Amino acid sequence: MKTEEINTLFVEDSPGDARLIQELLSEEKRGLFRVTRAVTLEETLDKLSNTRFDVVILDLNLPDSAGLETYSKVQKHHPALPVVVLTGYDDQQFATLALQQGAQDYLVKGSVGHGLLVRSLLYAIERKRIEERLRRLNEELEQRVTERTVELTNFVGQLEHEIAVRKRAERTKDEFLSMVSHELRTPLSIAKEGIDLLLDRVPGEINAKQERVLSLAKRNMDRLGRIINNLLNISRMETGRLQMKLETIDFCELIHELHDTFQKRAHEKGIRIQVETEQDSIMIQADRDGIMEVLTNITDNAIKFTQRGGVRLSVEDHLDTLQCIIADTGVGIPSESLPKIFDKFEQFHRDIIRGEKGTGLGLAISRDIIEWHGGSIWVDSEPNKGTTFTFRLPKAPSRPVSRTGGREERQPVK
Amino acid sequence: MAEQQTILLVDDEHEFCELLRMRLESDGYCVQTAENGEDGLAQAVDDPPHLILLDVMMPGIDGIETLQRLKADERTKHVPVIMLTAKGDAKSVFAAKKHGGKAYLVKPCLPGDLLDQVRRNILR
Repeated sequence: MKTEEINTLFVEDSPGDARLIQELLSEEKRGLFRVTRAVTLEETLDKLSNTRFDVVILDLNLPDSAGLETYSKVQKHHPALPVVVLTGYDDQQFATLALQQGAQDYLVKGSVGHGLLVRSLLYAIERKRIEERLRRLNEELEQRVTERTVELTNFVGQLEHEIAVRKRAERTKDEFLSMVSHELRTPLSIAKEGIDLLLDRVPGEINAKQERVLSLAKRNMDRLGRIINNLLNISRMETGRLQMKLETIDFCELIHELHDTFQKRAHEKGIRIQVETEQDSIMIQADRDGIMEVLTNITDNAIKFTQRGGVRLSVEDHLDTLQCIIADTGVGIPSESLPKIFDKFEQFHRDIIRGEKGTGLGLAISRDIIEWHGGSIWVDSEPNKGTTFTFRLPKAPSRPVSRTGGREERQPVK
Repeated sequence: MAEQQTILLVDDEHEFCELLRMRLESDGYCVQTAENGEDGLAQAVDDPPHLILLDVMMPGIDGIETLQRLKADERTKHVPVIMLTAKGDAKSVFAAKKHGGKAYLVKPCLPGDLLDQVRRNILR
């Protein structure tokens, strides 16, 4: 079939050699090869640019070009074209060089028969096609790698930009919160001082009804004060800017300090608060203010929600860790509330005792602080029997624990 | 009866000063007030009180700088200073301690805490 004809450019300046080869090709009875002849390199390049050829049989020594340079020039202009070199030299080294530069085959005149020539040409075309496909694939791959690299670089740039923007926003937020907290606290402190003065009868006597109204106002001002503090702390925690640092502290001293702080309140409420430790001192590496905040938050709750009995603060020394237990005999926490107790804005006692509302942030902050130290905190509770908070701290936290933004959803609730 | 002890209260919030004055006077102290750092410094130098209650955030020279100047002046450096502020950040507390503040109270503070600190630190 005409369509299957192989368009062949035969470059040969010697008429004798040309005839010989053309005879070999014409032996091909299927009429597979349609042969066009060229004599010089110039003519070769000219023909190649005007007509599409499937394969080139190339003599290296032409009137206007000699040796491997002849091949190089053809290859340079038509890199995708399969070329079979045909020369009078039988030199293996020369042959290897030609093949290394991309020639498909190297045939020596006089030692080529019909079968070899045809096979060489057909294989040359096929091999070149495969080579070309590989080359294209490779190019595509490189192109894709380049594109992806650009995408990735852009992405990294975007990320860096976003991080910078976010850091700036966090800093602004922090400054903003600090400012707001100041602006809120100032009028609050004035209002509170006014009420405190009235309650302390500094300006004059008040009756029982008036006192009750003022007490209510006072309690809610205290609550507002706590909310402001906690909001500020949570925000600092989240931006990782609540600066905690490890120092050597005596945990027993902390517990006694805590006891002294709350003793008066417990006494007024008619409940006990007692410390149980076997050691006189337990030295640990921790952030003093942070741990004190945890202890205060939990003890404050314990006293708030205990009407009878009392609160027991105990510390156990467990070699590398210490365990602190704050147990009360209060109203307890319903079991369905336990898993959420360390979440932000959870107010598990909301409906139990009127007027005793917190901010719902104290325990979330406490857990953050304990986890910053590499410790864990959990709670056990039975309604109407009491609640026990337990936390465990490594005495020497091995890492300056870096806070990750998202907390894993671990619930250290037994 | 001993001479009445004087407290200089430096705070730009008039209303806060007014209430605190009432509180301190009812506890038997004589109270002077100043609404900014410069004014406070001038009064303290002129007639050194037995104690100074000093707000941190004020227009003009702030409480920390006022504290530094009080401590640098021969006439006032012996006067105990308690810092009072609505800004309870670690940096201000640290600065107050570093420059010789006796205590640091965050507003709103408990009246008991305030009187406690006053009684504990005031010159006798």
